[in-house]
Amino acid sequence: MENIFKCKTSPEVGGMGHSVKRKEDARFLHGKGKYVDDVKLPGMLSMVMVRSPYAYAKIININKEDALAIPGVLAVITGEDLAQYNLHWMPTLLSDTQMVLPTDTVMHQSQEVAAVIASDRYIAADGAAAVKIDYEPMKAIVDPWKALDEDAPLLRPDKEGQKDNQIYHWERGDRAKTEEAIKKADIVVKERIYLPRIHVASIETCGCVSSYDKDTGKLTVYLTTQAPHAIRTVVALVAGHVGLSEEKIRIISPDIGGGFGGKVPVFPAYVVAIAATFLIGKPVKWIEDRSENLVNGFARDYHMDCELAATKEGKIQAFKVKTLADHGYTDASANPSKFPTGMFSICTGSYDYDTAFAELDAVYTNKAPGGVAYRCSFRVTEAVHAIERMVDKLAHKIGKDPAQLRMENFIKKEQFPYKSPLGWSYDSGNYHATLNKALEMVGYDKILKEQAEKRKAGKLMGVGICTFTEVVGAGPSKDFDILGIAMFDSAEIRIHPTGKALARFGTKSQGQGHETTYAQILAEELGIPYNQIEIEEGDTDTAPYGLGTYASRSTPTAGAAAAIAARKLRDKGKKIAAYLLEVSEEDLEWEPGKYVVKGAPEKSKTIQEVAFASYTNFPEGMEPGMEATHYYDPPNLTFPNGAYICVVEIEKETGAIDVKRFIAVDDCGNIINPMIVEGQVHGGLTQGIAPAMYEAIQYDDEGNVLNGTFMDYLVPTAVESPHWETGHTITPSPHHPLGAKGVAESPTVGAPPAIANAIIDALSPLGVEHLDIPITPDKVWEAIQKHS
Amino acid sequence: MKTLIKKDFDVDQEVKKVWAFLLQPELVVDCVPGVSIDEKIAEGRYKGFVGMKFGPIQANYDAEIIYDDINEDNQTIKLMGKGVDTKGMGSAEMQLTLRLEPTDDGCHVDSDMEIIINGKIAQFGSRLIQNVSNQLFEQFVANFTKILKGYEISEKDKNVSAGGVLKTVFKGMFNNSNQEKGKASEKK
Repeated sequence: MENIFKCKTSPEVGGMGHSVKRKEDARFLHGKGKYVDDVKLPGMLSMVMVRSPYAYAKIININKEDALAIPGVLAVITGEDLAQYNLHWMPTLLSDTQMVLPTDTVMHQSQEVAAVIASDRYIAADGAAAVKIDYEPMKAIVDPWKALDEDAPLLRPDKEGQKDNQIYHWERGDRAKTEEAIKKADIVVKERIYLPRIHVASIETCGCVSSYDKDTGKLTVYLTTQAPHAIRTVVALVAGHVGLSEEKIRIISPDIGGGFGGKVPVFPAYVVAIAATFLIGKPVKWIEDRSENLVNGFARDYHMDCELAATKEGKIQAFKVKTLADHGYTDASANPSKFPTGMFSICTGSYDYDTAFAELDAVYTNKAPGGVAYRCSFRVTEAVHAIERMVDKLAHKIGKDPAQLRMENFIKKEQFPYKSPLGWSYDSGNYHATLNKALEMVGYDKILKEQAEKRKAGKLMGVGICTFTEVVGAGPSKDFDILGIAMFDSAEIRIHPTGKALARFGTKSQGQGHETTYAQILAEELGIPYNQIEIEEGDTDTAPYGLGTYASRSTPTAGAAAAIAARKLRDKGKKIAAYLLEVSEEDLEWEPGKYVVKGAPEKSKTIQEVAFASYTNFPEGMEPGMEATHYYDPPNLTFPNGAYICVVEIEKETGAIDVKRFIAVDDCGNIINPMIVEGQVHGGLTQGIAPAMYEAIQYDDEGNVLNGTFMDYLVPTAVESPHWETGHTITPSPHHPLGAKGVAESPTVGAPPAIANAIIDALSPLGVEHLDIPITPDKVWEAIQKHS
Repeated sequence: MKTLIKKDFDVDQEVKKVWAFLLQPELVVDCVPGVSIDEKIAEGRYKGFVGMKFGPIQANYDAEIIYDDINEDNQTIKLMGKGVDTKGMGSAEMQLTLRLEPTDDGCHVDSDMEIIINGKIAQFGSRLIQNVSNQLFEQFVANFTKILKGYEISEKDKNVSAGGVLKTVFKGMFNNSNQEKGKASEKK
């Protein structure tokens, strides 16, 4: 990737814009990363969960005898056991309730029913197989469209006042005005678009080691979590009544092998492991196996009925979307409290019009709960897919080039900050420039010419565009909280006497490279070389409070906190430098790494000299040391954007899809480490072709998950990944201290519609107007047969 | 997961003989690889055991076998099997309907089998269930024909043929219509 960011520091200092190598990679590449499963404590026991084979069943009886008779099995814990301590239910992140272990009914296949604790994992697994459970299976609700039928069984009679299977109804925008605009419009395109359940499929599954020390009263939990502090507070709130107090809870999130949203929720097994260490008095380890990981939790599962209205020239006038959301048996979506549908209302896209309406009905079904923000910035993937498919459909309908149609409808750069019809305030963007760059990179005119020639020769070639607007960096405390805790994030910096530094954060890297990028931010602000700054995250006993890493929020929140905390130190340093140089503060200028006397460049003090003086020789009355903390409450979200173009060819005979080119131009504001951004984009694009072409969790009518292993759940590898061509435009965020916006999820959000649009464009001469993802060869083949 | 298998085949034995054979559950069960009868609980109801391997996992069902509907007039017999895995991995249900028709040189058998599998087997083995079931059914037909002809069936015939299962699985991977072809070849 070209580096279009102008660096202010030398490569040795490695501030913003330098593609320095990742500091954390040495330990990862040498196999020295320390993950939860690497934690081994003296006397540690192993826990295996007994799971339901049925999607919906009454529990008649649980017989522990055979399991307990196995030498090495110490305990079998059931819902009845937890009920004695009132720990059999817990709240979800969206204030619904979820069973820790059931007492009478199982609500989805592979739900945790009991836990077996044994001296090692093998014995625990044998014990789990020996727990005899009599079930009375019931007819499961698998199809969300049937969940609201009058004769549908009430899935959650435990909830007071719950009369049917609707969880909530949500709406935003002006319904009447939108319906009126659609009625009067020259052109209206409609489509039902489904984004199926998919899985985050992180390399490391979930797990914990829970250890309670009776003597100190301290509970330590090593946990695969993206949000250690939030978990600590949740544990204190949930288990406060049994004597757990927040200062006695320590959550340690060690190295994490990919999170992508799947490690935000609190899973029942975590709670059981904590209960077990209390009851047994020994550390308890639980590590999920791959199939457990694949059948629990999910992302997406939105059925969206879209209508886009426009003039006959293609000027967009109004957008309406009505969604049915399948949340499984409890709403455990990882969303901010006031945003049950996440940031779905970004669905009006990158286009300038003032009329829109979005509504959503969430329903219960007999499926696993979750609704995690799988690298999608809280439901932005669904929103972007809806609008970008519809814009393409409009272009095809009126016979206008999709790039041209987008150019004519884009919000213009001088319109920012732009108030979107559903209430967001887009911070900045230059959509025309971003798309122009992508068109230039792909050689758009040439590609269209090639396509015309291929079509003449009877071949199927398609070009698909997606010009998305993301919304990340949650979020401003007035609107954003999780279980009441405002979604700020934090940084704490200590500069040592020798001028090296330690910085701690409330976020938690899961592979994003925080140890490098945060160090680069501090290098940029303080002039201390990035490789002399240690970064720590994930231990709630040492790190400042923060809401964690997900939804591309780390750079927008904790990155900003780092910059501001560093500036506090720079201000303090200025006082010390003035004292040492015997000048007044006003006479000093900051150059990266040093304070220079204005007009006398030979007179200066480096940050290292100033740091040493802060411990040894500081002005009278000044607090010694160099330490600063900042809790950053963002004034607004950030709105990265991008223009992606995909070129595909399809083999008529087999339906095989060949992604020939994929151009991704991102605008994520100022860039901290171009190499890391490029890596994030590559990973995200691959996670973008995944749902577009391969992934979907499949259920049968009985609620069995039919692809619960990697044999059947297809995840793209390097073999399936096309050559990614990446580029950038830079439109800094006006409100972020570094002008940065965040990038991690843009490619996952932007890639699926570009691929879908390309495939549908390829098939459009046959009359194909829409295909739902994943668009697999058999789906393409069927469409070709149907339209030939 | 629901699987439907339809097959028809010819046996060069008199209808009467085939019908009489079908009414003896111990003999019929002997033809099905991996299935055994332990005791009779009531008229037409038997307790038994079904052991089956679906790809990576072995299921052991404590099963109940029921002669649901015996209609001599139509020469139709309906067999039901229901079982719960002994290690809590799930349950299976099977309904087999056999119809006999006399032909010039023996008997024509029309059969429908519906299998519903729940739990881990469905999760792990959904792609294999159809193929494994097909293979078992083919083995059933082979054993059935053999016994009727007066041959004894060997232990090997009673075990699930691993090679055969693999063959049908691979056939299934490369040829979605293998079921249809199997049908055609049996008809001859």
